[in-house]
This record gives sequence, structure tokens and C-alpha cells, in this order.
Amino acid sequence: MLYYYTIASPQNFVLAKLLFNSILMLVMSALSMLLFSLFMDYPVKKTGIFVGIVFLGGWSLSLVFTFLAAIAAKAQQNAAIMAILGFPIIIPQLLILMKISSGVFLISGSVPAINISLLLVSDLLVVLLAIILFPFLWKD
Amino acid sequence: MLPIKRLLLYKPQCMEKWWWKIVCILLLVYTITAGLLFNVPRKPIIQESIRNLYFHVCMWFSMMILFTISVVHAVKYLRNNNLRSDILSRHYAVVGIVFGVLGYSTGMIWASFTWADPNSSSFSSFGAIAKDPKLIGAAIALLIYFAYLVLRDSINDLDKRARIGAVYNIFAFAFLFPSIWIIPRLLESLHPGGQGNPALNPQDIDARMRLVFYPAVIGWTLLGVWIVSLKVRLQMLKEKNVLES
Repeated sequence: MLYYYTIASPQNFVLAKLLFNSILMLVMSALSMLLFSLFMDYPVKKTGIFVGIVFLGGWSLSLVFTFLAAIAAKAQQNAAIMAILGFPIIIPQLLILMKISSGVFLISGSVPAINISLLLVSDLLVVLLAIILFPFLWKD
Repeated sequence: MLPIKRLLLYKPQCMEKWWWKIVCILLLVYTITAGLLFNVPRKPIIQESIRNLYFHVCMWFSMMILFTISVVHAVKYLRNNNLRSDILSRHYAVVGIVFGVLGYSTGMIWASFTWADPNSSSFSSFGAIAKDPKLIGAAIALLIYFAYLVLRDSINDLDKRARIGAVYNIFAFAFLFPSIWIIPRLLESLHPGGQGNPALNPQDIDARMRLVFYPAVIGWTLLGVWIVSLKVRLQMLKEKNVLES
């Protein structure tokens, strides 16, 4: 870790981590969506919106868990701590994701824009908090 | 060793001033007597149980205020590295959780007379009550703070624990707002206040109730602060014993 001190500022470091995990999660979400559509029925009626929701959901989860991993890494790597810290924070995001994805399985289903903007705003919140708070976690 | 010495010489100013404790007692006595005796508007279904507003809603308000004070101390710790701020921040969070649990219990009692009473016209099944967004949001807020306590206990080094606890405290506080205030307003809910600001909006709450409500909030918050001051003093005594033995 001492090596990273010398070459990058903490904000750059945490942004890089967030970006990497987001891209990783997007790739994995795309892959699993592909596999699901190949091996199972394809009940989705609005594909474009569904792909957008899959990416949005994957991105939100990856952001939250990246920051929590930064916190848990300092807490003696207790295996359960990630689950305990992450579980309450994930619930509202999952609830909103469930609500917006229920609209893609019917032709007449509606995907309320306000929930999507809520998710985007909470993602922005997590990113900003990570950038502001990571320098305090960083110093040892 | 210097920070520990400063810690032992800690004498909170609130210990010498006792007037606010008298104010707290008077306000709470006023809340309970006036709350139960003064006239209240009789809304349909709720009728007289609207008096629970002075207890249930006040608990949540006090919880928010105590969590705010906790996060202020967390920020202070990150700026000054003074362990006293860290201890205060932890104890305010704990008492905030207690008030939150009390708010939940008073809410349950209230619901058993209004939403869950089969004779009233607003009867909803248990499933419908459990899916209420405000209940879920409040439960998430409490769970986040419980996770804060678990996190603190999993780190052994004092300074590290204080630093990481402070960081998570700020994170948890930022998550309170979406989960308790924003999401329940956007989804349909059994709770009142889907339009605008419930309980803070002067048009929403009757003038007679406002007379008891605002002092009640102050009274319950002062009670929470009193409990925190006692806990912090106890903690300081314990640490002094450990260091001197």
C-alpha cells in the first residue's frame, strides 16, 4: 500500500477502483444476460430498456460494494463484515430495481422515470461519498 | 500518552450546568399531561389515538437529531483526531438507535389500533402493513446503524476504530435521507404525508397539537442528550480505572 501512496492521490485511487469494478460488473451482467436468454425462456418484451436496467443495477451494486470493500479491508478482513455492512444499504436499491424491472415484462408496462433518476442520484451520492471519505480510510 | 491525559481531564461542561435537565423533566411532564388531557382534533378512524403523535413522531425526530449530533462529532474526530469526539459520536449513535426502536414500538402500538384493527375501516392485512415503504425505510436506517456498531467492535486498534467508525458514520448518515425521507414519499404508503412535509408543515398539523408537539420534541431530545452524557461519564470513569490499575 505504501507504494500506491507515492504514485497516486487517494481520490484517483478510489475513482480508478470504482471505474474498474463498474466495467467488470457491466461485462459480467452482459454475459449473464446473454446466457440467461440462451438457456431459458425470453419473457422480456422491451429489450432495450431491460439491457439499460441490467447495466444500471449492476453499476449501482458494484459502486456500493467497492466502497464497502475499502472499509472492510481495514477491518481485519473479517469475512462476514462485508455482508453485514452491505445488506442494509443494498435493500433500497434492490427494491427500486424490482419496481422498475416489473414494467419490462408486459407490452403495456410502464417504467417510471422517477425511480430511475432516484437510482442514478443515489449512485452519484455513493461516488461522491467515496471520493470525499476515502482519503481518511487511506492513511494508516 | 498526551491524548490520553487530555481524555482523563475531560469534564463535560454539561455536568456543571444542570438547568437543562430540569427543563427536560418539566417538558416531558408537560408533554405527558397535556398530551393526554388537552383537546385534539378528531380525525376519522384515528380519533383520539392521534395523541400518539407526541410520542411516535417525537421519537423519530429525536433520533434524527441525535444521529445528526453523532455525525457532527464524527466529522470533528476526522478533523482533530481527538478520541473524545469519537466516544461521543458512538454514544449518540447508540442512544439514537434506542430512540429509533422506541419509535418503531410506538408505531406498532398505534397500528394495532388503527391499521390492524379489524373493526376499523382502514384495516389492512399484516402483509400490506409490512410492505409499507416508511416501515422498510426506517428498518433499513436502524440496520445501517447496527452495522456501524458491529464494524466498530470488529477493529481492535483504538485510533483505527475511531477513524473507520467516523467514515462509516458519515456514510450511514448520508443514507438515512434517501431511505427514510425520499423513498417513502415517492411510493404509495399507508403513512400520511405523501404530499408535502408531514408534521413540519404548519397547515398539516392543528394549532392545538402544535402547542404540545414542539415542546415534546425538545423534551425527548434533551432526554436523549442526558442519557448520552451519563453514558459518556461512565465510559470515562471506566477508562480511568483501567489506565490507573
